[in-house]
Amino acid sequence: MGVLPEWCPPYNSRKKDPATGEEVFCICKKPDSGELMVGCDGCDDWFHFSCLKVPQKFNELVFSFFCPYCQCGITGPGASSGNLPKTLWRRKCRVPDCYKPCAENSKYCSETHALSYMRSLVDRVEGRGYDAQDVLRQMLQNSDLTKFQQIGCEGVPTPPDELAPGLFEGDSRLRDLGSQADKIRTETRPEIEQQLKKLERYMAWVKTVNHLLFASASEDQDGPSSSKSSRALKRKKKSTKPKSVCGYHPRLEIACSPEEFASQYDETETELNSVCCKLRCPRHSDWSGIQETSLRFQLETLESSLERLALLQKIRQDQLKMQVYKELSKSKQA
Amino acid sequence: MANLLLQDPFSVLKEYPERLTHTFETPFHTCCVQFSYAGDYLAMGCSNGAVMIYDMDTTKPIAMLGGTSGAHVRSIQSIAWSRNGRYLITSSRDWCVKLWDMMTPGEPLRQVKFGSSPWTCQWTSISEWKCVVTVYEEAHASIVDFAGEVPCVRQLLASSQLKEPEGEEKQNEVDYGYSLVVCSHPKHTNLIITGTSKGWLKAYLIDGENIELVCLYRFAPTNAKHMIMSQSGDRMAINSSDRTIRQYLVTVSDDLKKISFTLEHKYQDVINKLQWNSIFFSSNSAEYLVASTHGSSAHDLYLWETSTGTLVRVLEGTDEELLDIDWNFYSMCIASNGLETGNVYIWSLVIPPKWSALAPDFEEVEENIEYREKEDEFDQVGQLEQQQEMDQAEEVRIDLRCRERYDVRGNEIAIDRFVVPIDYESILVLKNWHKTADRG
Repeated sequence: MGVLPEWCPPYNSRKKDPATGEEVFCICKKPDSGELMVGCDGCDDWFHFSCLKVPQKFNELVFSFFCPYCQCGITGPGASSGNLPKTLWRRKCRVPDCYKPCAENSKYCSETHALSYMRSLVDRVEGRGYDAQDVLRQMLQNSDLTKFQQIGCEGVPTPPDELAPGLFEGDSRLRDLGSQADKIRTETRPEIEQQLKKLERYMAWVKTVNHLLFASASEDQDGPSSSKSSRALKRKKKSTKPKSVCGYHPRLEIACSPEEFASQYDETETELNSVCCKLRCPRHSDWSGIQETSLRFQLETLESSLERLALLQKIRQDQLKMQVYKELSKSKQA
Repeated sequence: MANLLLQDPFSVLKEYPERLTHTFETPFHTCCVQFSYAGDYLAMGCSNGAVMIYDMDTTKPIAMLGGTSGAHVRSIQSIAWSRNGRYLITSSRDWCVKLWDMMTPGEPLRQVKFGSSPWTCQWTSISEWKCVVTVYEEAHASIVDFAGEVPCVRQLLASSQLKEPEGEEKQNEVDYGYSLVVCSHPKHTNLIITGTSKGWLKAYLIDGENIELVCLYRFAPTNAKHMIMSQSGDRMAINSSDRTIRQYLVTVSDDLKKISFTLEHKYQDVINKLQWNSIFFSSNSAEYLVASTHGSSAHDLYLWETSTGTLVRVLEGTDEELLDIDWNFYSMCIASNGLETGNVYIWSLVIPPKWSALAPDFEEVEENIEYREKEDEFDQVGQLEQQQEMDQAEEVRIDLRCRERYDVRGNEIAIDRFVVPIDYESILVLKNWHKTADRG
């Protein structure tokens, strides 16, 4: 059971005035005086608009009406089923003071109202310093819907050259950003790429040296008479415990061919041509890995700074464009 | 920051923080922590080479060193702030020591690459730009001068050998081991003390270009892990691999040529025989020593009184082993980082609010009480006397012009405190980045 509104008197089932015998309606229990009434879909009684505090102009908007008693479940379908009915309204025309229901598939009661609504909207468009009608007309010049939808998606439009000559070229900040990006592209990045190549070359050299040294060492141990199978066995052993020199050189210079280096190699020396020759070298441990990650990381950060610079350039361009438009509107107003 | 003078002096003047107040959960695994000198910022070095700067007022990150380029690529070993909080040096396992300017934290100001991984880096007070670095398997520490565009590295090596009083002939063959730790004397700026892997302390006196080895002292036949000195310079503690922290009284002769170390206390975990991960002294003459313990069973920081050597406090609250420790005396905070999660924990003082602080003659009561007026409380007779008293009080001159020299805890406050500028550009970029991302 719902609750009756405050202004509504408790339900009274009286249908006739006991004194006059006249039929009475509504919550006020008065006879029909010709005032506008609405019929309840639940209890078939009639109700005054004024008694229900519903403005009379909503007359045409009623779709299905239920009186307060039916909405509370005292009478009507709600009393038996428990499903309390509610008054349903039709959607009103979008024109503010029109209280007619909308036509089918429309937001307006009629085409004339649709046109007048849009017209009032156009009147409200403000283009400071410009004729709003002109601006709108220009926006709508292309009757293409997709083009219309794209207006504003591209950010601030670039003002034509005659309005702001040399807008981007003259800005020092923008030039600065541009030169930074150029420097990364033409100088820093190639330099690091070159260093990376040098490192790779050097690592390859160290690898061959190691191969020459220890592959040949195992051959020496085996002697010429050893069969292929035993050599393979040795290889297998070696692969489980690789033996190699550290190979670190402070400047990564390749002084001689791997063959020459291998021939000069002496197990007792820890350094040859300033290349570290220790077999297990905790001091230079992972030197190649560190250098490689460092260089790759630098390349990565360069990429992201390029992206960042591009974004900053775009932001700056937008700022400049906005400045131009603001100046324009100021001068027009003046 | 609250005006400490208006707070309850019994809470403000506690000598060490007691409660875990913050936990910084960062996306990276922190491996060392360092407060700026005045405690405004906390630098956290991470295992992937990132260094993050947290603002301690808002407890939010404000900068990342090397955000644009040139960040470290391997785990950070140590961080040191310059005294004014503007410059930082970091050492990392990628063999580099980098100098950063907090004005432009995006890229390093200068960097030095060593022949192997550096252990620690520290500022010295010899001159503004000099710092001292210990490097893996190097017998001597190096002094790096960042003043020039290309930093200049020089080994901390005595110009002439020290004449040993014993005069043993094999003196030259003594293997002192590799230099691992270093600290600069806080009072005598040209004294630098290093500790080696064979348990030797070497004190160098630096006089311009001339470096003199003034003292050799063997504290134990073991590896030195940490060496710290109190602010006053008369106490020193060495944490070594033999699971012991040794505390020394340091006395320096007037001409700085003679330094003597007197062993005061040894701190050991007698039961579990645990190693100590890190140690730190409290302010000024170091009345307290705090240490973190090695091992998964220990999750606390231990705090001893240095004069008696007794354990006075265990700082609890974490669920993991703690590594590095830093203690800031201005904000009375201890920071430490966890081994497993890499979180950073901050212990600090919790000062209870005291509402009567603004009206000192008001008294705070726990509960409402019915007030009984004293016999002469609102009598008129005392008025003249009171007025006189008030007049007298007014006559005391209040100095409004001179800056206060020390804060309530006795820390110097007439120091420069660099304020890290807000990076508007990155805020702009972030905002627009999201916009473009949304559109895409």
